[in-house]
Amino acid sequence: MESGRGIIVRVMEQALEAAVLGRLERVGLAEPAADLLLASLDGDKELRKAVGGQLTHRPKQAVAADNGTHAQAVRAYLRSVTVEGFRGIGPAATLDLQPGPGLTVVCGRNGSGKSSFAEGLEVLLTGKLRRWENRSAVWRDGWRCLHAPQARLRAELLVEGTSGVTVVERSWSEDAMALTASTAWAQEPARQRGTVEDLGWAQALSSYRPFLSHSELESLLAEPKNLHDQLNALLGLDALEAAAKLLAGARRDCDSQVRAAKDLRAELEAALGASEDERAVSALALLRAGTADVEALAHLSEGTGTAAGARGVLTQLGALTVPDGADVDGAAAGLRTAADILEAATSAAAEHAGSVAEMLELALAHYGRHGPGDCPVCQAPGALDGAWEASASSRLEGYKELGQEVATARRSAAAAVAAARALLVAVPPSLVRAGETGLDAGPALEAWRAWSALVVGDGKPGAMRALADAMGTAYPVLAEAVARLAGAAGDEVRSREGRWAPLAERLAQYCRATAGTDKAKALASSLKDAEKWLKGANDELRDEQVRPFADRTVALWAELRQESNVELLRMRLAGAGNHSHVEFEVAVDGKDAAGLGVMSQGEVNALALSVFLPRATSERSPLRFVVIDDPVQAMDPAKVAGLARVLAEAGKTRQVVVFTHDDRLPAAVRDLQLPARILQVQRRAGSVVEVVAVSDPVSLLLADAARLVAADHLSRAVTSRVVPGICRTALETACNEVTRRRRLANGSGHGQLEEELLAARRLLPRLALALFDDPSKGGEVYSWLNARVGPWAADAVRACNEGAHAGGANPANLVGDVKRLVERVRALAT
Amino acid sequence: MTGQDATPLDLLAAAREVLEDSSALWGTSWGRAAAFLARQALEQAVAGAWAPELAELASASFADQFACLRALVGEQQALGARQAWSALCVACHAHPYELAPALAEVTDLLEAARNAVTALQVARVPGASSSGG
Repeated sequence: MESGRGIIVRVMEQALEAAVLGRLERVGLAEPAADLLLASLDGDKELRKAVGGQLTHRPKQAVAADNGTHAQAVRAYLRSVTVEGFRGIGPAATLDLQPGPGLTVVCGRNGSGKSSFAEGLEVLLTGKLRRWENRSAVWRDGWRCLHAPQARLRAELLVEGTSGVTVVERSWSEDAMALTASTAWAQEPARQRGTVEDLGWAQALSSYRPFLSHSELESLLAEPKNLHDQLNALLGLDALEAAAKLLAGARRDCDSQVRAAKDLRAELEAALGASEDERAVSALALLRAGTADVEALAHLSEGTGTAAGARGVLTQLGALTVPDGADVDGAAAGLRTAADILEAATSAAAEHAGSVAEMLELALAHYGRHGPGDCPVCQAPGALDGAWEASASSRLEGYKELGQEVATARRSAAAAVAAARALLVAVPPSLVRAGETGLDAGPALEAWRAWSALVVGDGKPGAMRALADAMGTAYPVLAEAVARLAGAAGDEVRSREGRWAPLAERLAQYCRATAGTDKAKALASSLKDAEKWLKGANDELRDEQVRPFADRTVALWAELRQESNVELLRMRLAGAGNHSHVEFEVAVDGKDAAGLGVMSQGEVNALALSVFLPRATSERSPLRFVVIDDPVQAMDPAKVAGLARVLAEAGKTRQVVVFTHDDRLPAAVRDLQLPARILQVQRRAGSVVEVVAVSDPVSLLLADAARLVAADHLSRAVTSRVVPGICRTALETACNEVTRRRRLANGSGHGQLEEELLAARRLLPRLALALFDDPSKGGEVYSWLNARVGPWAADAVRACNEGAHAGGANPANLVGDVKRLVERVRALAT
Repeated sequence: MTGQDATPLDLLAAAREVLEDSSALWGTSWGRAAAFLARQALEQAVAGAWAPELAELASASFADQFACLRALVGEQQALGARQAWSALCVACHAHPYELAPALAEVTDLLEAARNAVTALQVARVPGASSSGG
């Protein structure tokens, strides 16, 4: 057997889906919104998928819902209900029912145990009793019957499509005091014994609840929201509310995503504004440019790109170095050495040697051109000859060597000066701009300026020595000042990076958050469209689903209202959330009236029954039985007749079991000659409960009387006192019956009829009513019987009356005579 | 115990037996049967309670006899007896739309009838026969 729940849910979804798709065709919805809407109706998981971009693109064609063809596969009818040690029933008592459509009326006085069958069945199938749910422990704990050691409930059901009996049993151990402390099993034909839940009826027992107790009847309409919710769930309409909630939730997620990015941005702007870091300034500019360039922001957050401005100066200052100290020392030493050498090479002797060499060179050149001769300088004759030439050449060589030394000394001096000059570098630009950074760069700048401005001089040894000395003095000042500045700059750079890092992280976070914002915005808008559509469709969809149901309620009320002046025009689900309710539009004497306030309690009960029956007898329910406990209370007789018709009508397709505390409903059933089985529950000593078929109570009474007459072991003292009384009861019952039928056939009102019947409290007025339709003609009964029926009839009536008080002569004859008389009286009614 | 020699207490005992007999013999009539027996026990006790000089009262209607009981057993007992009797009378008739009386109701009625019968017997003129009619 397939689970009842699966079937029901599927069918309901189909009906609703068809309605939604039908409306979608008429009232369009843009593509992503329509997909989101359908996904939301399929539940949270599907909506998440759709929101995540996995649109299922369901067919948007309405599929004809195959109403209930599956549900009809399971149809369960009750065959018997056995109750033992529960409530008013002691030893096991069984209510045998005919499994199949039909009306069964089970009557029994209050306390007879009839409700124990109805409640036992509910407890058996659902494990609890709704009537007791809000009751105190005093109520709940008194459920065991003290006249039986064990408590046990059992039902036999016939399920169409299976051959054999389905048995459900629930029992309690001897010491179990809690109603819930039971164990239960269910046995389907040709199946292993399982749990009650295995039957798959749990959903149906709740949605199509087949039990209606009197207290529920009174409370069904008392809480409009409860009733609304029950109908909503029954019709699968809660799916609409659930979908609306899901859509709203998804939209809020999107909104909060967008809002989070916005909040993040505001915080970020504030933080960036408070930062002096030029990356912050750039980021702020980007953010404020309107359409934020996320890529550029991301670059900033990563710290890539060249540093410019103060941050660049700082970085450079941090890395600022002065010429190497060793180089400076070397240069100074070089200057001094070169100066010494130069000085030595350019002494007076050396100069003399130089000019002699120049002169000798010129003289030798002259000699070469002019040959031997006088000295052109001193005019000594013939001084210039070969010997002189040899000597002069030799001396020239010597002087030339000396001259080269001087040249070398001059070159090295020049080199030493160049080397020193190279160290006297200009002030670096970063140091020039150091003021921008806010650091105190004065000493360093001054030192460097002094350093770069050191006088190189004319290259003479004196100047060289002066330079070397100046360098030696200026360098330590420079080195110290620059090192201090670089240190400070480095510190500043690190401090600035430390402050930037969290900003960079926030910037990155914002970049990530803002990446999906556009998508979220679009999604939120689509979700909102879907919500709007659903909200607009809600009333129509609800009305559409409720209408067939409401129509039945209206029709039932029309039947049940009988002499009521309240007309039910329409029933619909209205409101939303905590204000949702079932709206009844009624008219009193043809004029619109406000709600249920105009109804009497009996009318409210009848209306509740009109709501209950369509639900419990829904085509979709696998439970083909309904059990109604005492719907007659607070109902006037006219409505009982309507109730009997309604129940008999329902009995054409459903197994309707009605429990009732008096004879009004059975009387109505008999009066209207409706097809029904009437059973009577009676509780005897020791909580022994019996169920007796009482389709014809008069025959039953006469049979009782005849049985007592025939009982050998009863004394005459007892039978002679009891049998006339029972015979009188039979006669009275027959009279009531005859009077009612005739009156009702004549179209008399129920109310007046009941009054007259109740007023005629004795046999003679009742006979007068039955025979003459006039209760005051009791005095004419005997003579009429004598004349029209025979003396035996008058004697029998007399014997009934007298024997009921003092015992009669021959009870055996009396039973036969009363039987004949009953037949004659009944014949009068037809 | 034959037709007419049963005492009111006999009848009440018989009524109790009817209630306790859960066999199918009584069908649905056990409650009324017990009520008939109890009512007759009570009526018999009232009719037999009058002193010889008031014996003709016994042929009056029971409604009248119960109305006179106050003189015999006092206000309180008379009221109890009358109430028990009227309730039994109701139980002894078939009423439209009503089912036969339930076990608890009849049990209460028997108890009330027993109290009334006992009170009447105590109040009886000494020397009068305890058996009725």
